[in-house]
Amino acid sequence: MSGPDRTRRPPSRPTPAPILPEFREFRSDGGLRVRAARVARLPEVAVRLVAGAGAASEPAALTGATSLAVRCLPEGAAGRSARDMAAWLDHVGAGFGAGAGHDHVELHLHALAPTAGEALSFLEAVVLQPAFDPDEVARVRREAVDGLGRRRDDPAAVADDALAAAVFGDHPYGRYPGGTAATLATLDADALRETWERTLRDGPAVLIAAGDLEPEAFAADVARRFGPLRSAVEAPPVESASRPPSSALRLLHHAGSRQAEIRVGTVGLARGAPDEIAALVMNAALGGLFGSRLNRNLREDKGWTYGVRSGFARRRAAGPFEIRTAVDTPVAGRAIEEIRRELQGMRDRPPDGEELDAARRSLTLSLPRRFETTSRLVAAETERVAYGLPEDWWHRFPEIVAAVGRDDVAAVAQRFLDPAGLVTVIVADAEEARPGLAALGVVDEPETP
Amino acid sequence: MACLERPGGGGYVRGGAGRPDNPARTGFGVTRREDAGVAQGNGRQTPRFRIERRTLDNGLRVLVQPGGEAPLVAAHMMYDVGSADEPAGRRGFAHLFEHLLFEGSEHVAKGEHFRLVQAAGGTLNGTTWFDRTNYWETVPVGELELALWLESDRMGWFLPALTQEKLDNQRDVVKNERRQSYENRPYGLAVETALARLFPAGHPYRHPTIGFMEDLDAATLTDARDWFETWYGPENATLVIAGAVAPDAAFAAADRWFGAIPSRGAPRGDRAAATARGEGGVVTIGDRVSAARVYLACHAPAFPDPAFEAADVLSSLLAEGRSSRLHHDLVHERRIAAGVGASAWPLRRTGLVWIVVTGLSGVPASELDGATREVLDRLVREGPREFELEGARNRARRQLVLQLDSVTQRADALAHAAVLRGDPDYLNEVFARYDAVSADDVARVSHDILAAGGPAAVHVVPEGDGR
Repeated sequence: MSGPDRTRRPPSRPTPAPILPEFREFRSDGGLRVRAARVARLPEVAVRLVAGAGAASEPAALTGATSLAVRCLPEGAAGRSARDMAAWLDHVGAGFGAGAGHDHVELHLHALAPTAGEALSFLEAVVLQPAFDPDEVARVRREAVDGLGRRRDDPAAVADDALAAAVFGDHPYGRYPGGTAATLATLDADALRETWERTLRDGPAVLIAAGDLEPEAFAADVARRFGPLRSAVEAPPVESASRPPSSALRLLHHAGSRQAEIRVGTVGLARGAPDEIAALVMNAALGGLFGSRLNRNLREDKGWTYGVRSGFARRRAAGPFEIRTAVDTPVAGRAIEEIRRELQGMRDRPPDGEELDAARRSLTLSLPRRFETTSRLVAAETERVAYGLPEDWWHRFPEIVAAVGRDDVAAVAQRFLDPAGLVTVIVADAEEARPGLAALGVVDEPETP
Repeated sequence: MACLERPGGGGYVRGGAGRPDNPARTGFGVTRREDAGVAQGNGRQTPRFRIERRTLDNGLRVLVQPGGEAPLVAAHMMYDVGSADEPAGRRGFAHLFEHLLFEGSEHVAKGEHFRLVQAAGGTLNGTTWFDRTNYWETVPVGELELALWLESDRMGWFLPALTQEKLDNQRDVVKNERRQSYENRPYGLAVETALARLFPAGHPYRHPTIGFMEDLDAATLTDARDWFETWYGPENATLVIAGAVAPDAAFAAADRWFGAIPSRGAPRGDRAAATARGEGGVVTIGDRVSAARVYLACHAPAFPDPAFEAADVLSSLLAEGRSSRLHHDLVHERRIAAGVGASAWPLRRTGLVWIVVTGLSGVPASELDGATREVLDRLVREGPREFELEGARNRARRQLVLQLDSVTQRADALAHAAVLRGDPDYLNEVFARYDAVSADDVARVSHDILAAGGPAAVHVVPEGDGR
């Protein structure tokens, strides 16, 4: 039977550009920026509120204060007990989440359109009038401390935290935003209230919304509700860290581990850095995609791992560049050698031709998915605004990516991928891992708590 | 398969983003996510999705769900085979085979499947679960033919590209997946421990989809050929195309790419209900954890059963949100737990409701278990209040809308409805079905689930703590 030509990839047909709804901007009397867009495919509304000071703006002694304060927000507010707040939210059926990262505090809300007003009232209560009741604070603090304990149970999380500490040292990005048991122990209701005042009540904030709404009326409603937010203050700057001094290799013992969790990293770059997009293109070829060099080697050729990925976490200041994988413990040393070989290979033989094209296309042609759903559209717009990217950023993005050439990619590979400038962390059963690491030279084995 | 969005041992709750394979890995708080449902229907707009259907001459069922403003299309192929169909001594094979299907076919070289889709701006994955195996690509709409070429080539021209080297490579990958996602994760072995207590020897759901090392080691090329010949014919598959396409064009494209693949005869699956129960009871396992966690797993209505939605609502009342019964009692009032979760697994042959309670450090598993059962007993005794039931319906409806906003998830939900329920229209009917769940329905299903024989329990405790 005759059919289509199977011997080659079918030709691409034209795909229309995604139509991005227009966000309209309004400002409350207090200074809160409100950006709203109408997307009425389904009867839903998605909202994000971002305040411009995260865990990186905390003094080291108060690490975790922002995260804990945000966790306490729904635990009693506006004269309602924690129990009543929970019953309220759960009856409305809205989705609510709140968290603090290194750079920002972020609250999000998802509601069916007919209940959006009620859901906004809930958000208003938690943002403007959190109770910080000492008894509830004590409970949530205990839960947070316990969560830190469970984090240490997980070799993958242990490796993440160890790499951040090794790469960033005393810089705030070296600390876990959730804090430590010692810092959390010092945080009482008053400290959390002060943190809330500094970050949410008085910090720079923006509220982004999209869905089945009328932007003007919605913004007027939000401006009225959130009027008391004083959002005029600039977020305190975060300085970038300097690169770690040596190519340390650390083995952390995790008794009975069934695999070796491996992290390789260094200080990467900040949002808006001149070579940011070249770094994204380079990373797509190195370890950002399934078919990237690292995954082809370690997984599809060697079978040593379920997967290996690399990425630049771009933050207000330079965030980490990081390679993450988990491998069969006896081959951990060989896996690290292969990773180093691929890093050097990217410097010696940067992507060109089809490999470079594929990396660029994966970034630009995936844009429609970034804006596909109402929630994702709000997330993309929030990311743009929170990092101060220009209004036409997503429109310009394809051109910026297309302009990245072989030399640009080669330059970022030279800058970030020198194996001698990268820190390596292994979390494994040390007895089992040690023999395989012998060829790598000096291995530092710090005491593990 | 791949390590893109989700590890391969999993599956979807009713096409949602919930992960039924292992509630432990969904973390704390509420494990239910993105489940489907409906609230009170008074004046609420209920989305309706157009569904067009055709069956090709070779038996391949094709469903087209046109619509969506984004210039995207999802191609989702679901094969009616899962880990429940594995023969003795080959636990994990359905999932290992799923990996092999990404390793190329006669016209697609190894590595090209992922490379081409990602270079076109698309995303893709495959997952294996007890009852089905699925493969999907979501791509810019102008690349629909790319997705169909790749899917049809591995349905029709897979065996010429199968080699021992690929099998050995992916066997190693899957063994590392088992280590990474289960053996080396806190609480990672709880679910498979519970399954062995929930079901008797020989039951299709007694073992986890990821399988076991010794069975993965035993897999051969002959197994792979037999599996492909038995289960991967067009008459055992359903293709969903969802997104910015016209139905006629989508059907024509499906026929163009799949029409030449010969039928392989009627599928041989035994899809009968399998409600036999195992010994149940309580098992305690040690793990390198700082706090105990208790899993209570109950036999429940299967996904196609009319009582499934009520069982799902029950799990919502128990553990979804801070006002849910378990959260309120164990986390807020007694302060013995750090988080709770519950979910109803949409299985075809028989259902399961899972309840997961993570203790605060130092709280014994027995105390968590006892307190959890008290909450369950009270719900069975008193039945749900109308107010909490309304909340559960509202949450379910919102989560369904959130889920179905995405073309990937619409295709996924439609494929699950078509294959596991034999009813694509469930995609639209699900709103009304959740809307109709009454207090009596929940009371009845609670009684049936919790009273009869009681749950199978797994207590995961800090190593050395009372093993």
